[in-house]
Amino acid sequence: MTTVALDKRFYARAAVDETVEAFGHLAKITVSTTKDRIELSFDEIDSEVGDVLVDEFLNYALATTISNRGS
Amino acid sequence: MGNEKVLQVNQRIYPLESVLATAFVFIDECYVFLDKPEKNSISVRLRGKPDTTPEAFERVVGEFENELMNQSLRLKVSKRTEKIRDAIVHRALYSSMPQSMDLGLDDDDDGDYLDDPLGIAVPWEEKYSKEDDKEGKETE
Repeated sequence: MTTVALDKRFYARAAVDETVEAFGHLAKITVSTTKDRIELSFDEIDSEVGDVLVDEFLNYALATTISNRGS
Repeated sequence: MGNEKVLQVNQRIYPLESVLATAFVFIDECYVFLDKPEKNSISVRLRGKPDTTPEAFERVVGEFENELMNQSLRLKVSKRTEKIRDAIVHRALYSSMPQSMDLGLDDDDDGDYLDDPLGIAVPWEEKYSKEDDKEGKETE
């Protein structure tokens, strides 16, 4: 299992939810929040995708956050 | 991991907006992860994509740093010229208003609205019946 904590100042919860929806078929992704952070845990990652999934997930979440800020 | 670099970006020099704009530009070229371990700095972790060679990754890191500078300067200039840009836009919008918006009220026009030099206000019957009467009398 891989865990990542995202700072809420850089990653919006709505963007993370949208990303979970986009990547949900490739892994079991659990989201929980604290005051400052969004905590993610990745489990049962699709073997064909491998470790790249988490990095791709983070890029997608960041891009979505920035896009939503601009609109 | 080989193709990985962490940059500590001083937020006093590079504001958050410029860091985000730079990250957005490079999202297709590498993996970007942002964190904030300290008050005035942003940690930017760049990681090469699977098919990126170490040389190409070094180039991407260098270009990222340059773009960071570029975006910061752009933001600074944008803030400095905000008022003049607004003025130009207002001026452009105002000048593109259609001429029909001008009601054509000419201050020099001293004519009376009761004046009818072309006889437009005279009814048709009144105007032509008199002429017909005259012609009738003349033929008699």
